[in-house]
Amino acid sequence: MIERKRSLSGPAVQFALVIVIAISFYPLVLMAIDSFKSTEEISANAAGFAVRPTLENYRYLLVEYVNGIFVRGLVNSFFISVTYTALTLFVSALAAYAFSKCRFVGREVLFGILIGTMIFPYELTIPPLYIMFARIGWLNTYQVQILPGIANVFSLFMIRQFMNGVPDSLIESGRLEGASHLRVFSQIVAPVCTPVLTVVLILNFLSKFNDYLFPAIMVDKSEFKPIMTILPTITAINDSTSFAVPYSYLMAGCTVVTIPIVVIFLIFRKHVLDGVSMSIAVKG
Amino acid sequence: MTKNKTKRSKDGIEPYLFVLPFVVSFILFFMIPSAYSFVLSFYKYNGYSTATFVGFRNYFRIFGYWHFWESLVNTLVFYVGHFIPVFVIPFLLALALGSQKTKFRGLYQTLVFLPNIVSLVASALVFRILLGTRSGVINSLIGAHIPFLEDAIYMKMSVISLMVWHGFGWFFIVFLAGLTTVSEELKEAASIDGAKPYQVVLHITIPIMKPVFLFAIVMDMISTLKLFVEPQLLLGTSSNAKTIPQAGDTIITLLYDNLNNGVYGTASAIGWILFLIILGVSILQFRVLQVGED
Repeated sequence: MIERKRSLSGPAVQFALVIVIAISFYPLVLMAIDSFKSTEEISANAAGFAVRPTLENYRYLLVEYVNGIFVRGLVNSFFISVTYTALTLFVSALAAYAFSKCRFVGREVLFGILIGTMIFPYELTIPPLYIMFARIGWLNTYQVQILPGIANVFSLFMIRQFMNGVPDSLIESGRLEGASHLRVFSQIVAPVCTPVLTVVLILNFLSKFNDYLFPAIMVDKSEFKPIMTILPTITAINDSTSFAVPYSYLMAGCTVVTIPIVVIFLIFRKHVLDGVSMSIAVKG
Repeated sequence: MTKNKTKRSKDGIEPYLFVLPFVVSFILFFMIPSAYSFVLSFYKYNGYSTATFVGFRNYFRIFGYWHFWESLVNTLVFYVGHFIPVFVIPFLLALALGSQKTKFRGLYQTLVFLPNIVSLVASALVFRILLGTRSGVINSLIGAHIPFLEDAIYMKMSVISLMVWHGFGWFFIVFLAGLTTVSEELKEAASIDGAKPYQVVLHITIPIMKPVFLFAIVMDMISTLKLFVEPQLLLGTSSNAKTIPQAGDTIITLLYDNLNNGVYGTASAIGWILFLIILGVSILQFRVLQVGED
C-alpha cells in the first residue's frame, strides 16, 4: 500500500527535481556557450547557440590581455588557496588534537572563548586590518591573503568533534610505547581523521578560491590579485572605441574559473556534501 | 575512565605547543583587530592625521544617515524575498526525495548543490547577461525591455533571484541531512495509527527537525546580513562603476565604501552595528523558535 503510493508520486518528484536541476544548470550552460561568441553576437543573440563559434575570447584573455594578467591571477588564486588551506588544516588539526586528546590547564576555558567568538563577524576586523597591514607594508602581498583567517574556529570545532569519536585507547597505546603526542597525532590520529580533514580542506579551499571582499580591499596591484578580483575588471583594451561591457571576455573568464571548481567539486562531492551536513552539528 | 584520566593527567608542555600556532594567529588576526576596531569606532581617523576621540558620534552619524536605513531595508527585502524559495521549496523537495527509493539520490544531491560552489563573482556576471535590459536572455525571450538591473524595484528582484539560484542547493542538502534524523519507525508507527502523510510531516517530521530549521534560519539570516558580492557585481561593474547606487546597497557595501573613502572610524562602527544586529537577531530567533519546545 505504502509502496504503491511512493511509486505513484515518484515521477512527479523526479520531474520537479529535473526542473530544479535544469534551472541550476542553465546559467552555467549559458556562460559556456556565450564564451564562444563575440560581444556583438552576445548582444544580438544571448540565449542561442553560437552561430560563428570562436576561440578568440580565450586567446585574448589567456595570451593578450595585459601581459597575461589573467593567467597570473589564476596562478595567484591557486597558490594563495592551496597555501592558506594547508596552513589552516595544520594549525586547526594540531589545536583540535590538543583540545580533544590532551589534558592541560585552561583547556575548557580556552575552547569556550574560541567558540564564543564565532558570533563576531569577521568583517568587523577588516577596517583595522587594513590600517595595520598598511603600516607594516603588507597591502599588495601574498601573505595578506594567506595568513588572516588560518585560525579558523569552525574548522577547529569540526575536527575536534570528529577526534572526540576516536577511541582514547588508540592514543594510550601509542603513549605507552613512549611516543610523543606529536608522533601520536601525526602517525595515529591524523590518518584516522582523513575524512574530516578532507572535508575541512575542500571547504576552506573553495571558500578561499571564491573569496572576493577581502582581496578587493587589501590588494589593488594586479600582479598580486587573485582571479576573482581580476575577473570583474576585464575590459576590452583592444577596442578603445567601445564602452560596452565586454561580455564575451567576461564569459570566457567565468568559464575558465568555474571549470576547475566544478571538477574539484565533482571529485570531492561526497566530502563537500558531508561538510554541509556536518556543519549542522557544529553550529546547531 | 577515571583511571585513564589520572594516567594522562600530565601531558606537560606539548598541548600548549599544539594550540600555540592557532592561538597566536587568532590573537594577531582576530582578537587584536576586533579590539582595535572597537576603539576605532569611537574615533575620527583618516589613516594619516592623528585620530580624535568623538565618543558615539560615528554611531549617531550612521543612524542619522538615510543610506544606512535604506541598506537595512534592502537587506530586509532581500531576506523576505528569498525566504520562501530557499526554505519551503527545498524542504518539500527534500521531503519528497527522502521518501523515495531511488538510486539517483546521490546524483540529484550533487547536481542540485552545484550552483553553490560556483563563485558568486562568476554567477553575478552571468546573471547580468540573463537579466540585461537591451539584449538580456529573459528580455529577448519575452520580447520586452524590463530594466531588471536598472530599476530600483527590479534590481532587488534580480539580487533575490541570484541569491535563490546560488543558495537553493545548500538548503536542500541541509534539509536532506536533517530528515535522516527523523526515525522511520516513528513515522511508520504514526501511519499505522491512521495518521495521514501530511499529518506525519506536520506533527512528527517538522517538530523533530526544529533544530535543523533553527540552524538553517540563523545561518541564512547572518549570511543575508553580510550580503555584498551579489548586489555589488550584479548591479555595477568596473566599467560603469555603480551607475545607480543605493537601491541594492547592503551593510557591507556601506562598510566597504567608508573604508575606501578612508573613513575608518565610521567603517569600524558599521562593523560593530552589524555585530549588534547579528547578535540581536540570533537571540530573537533562539527565543522565538524555542517557544513551545516544552
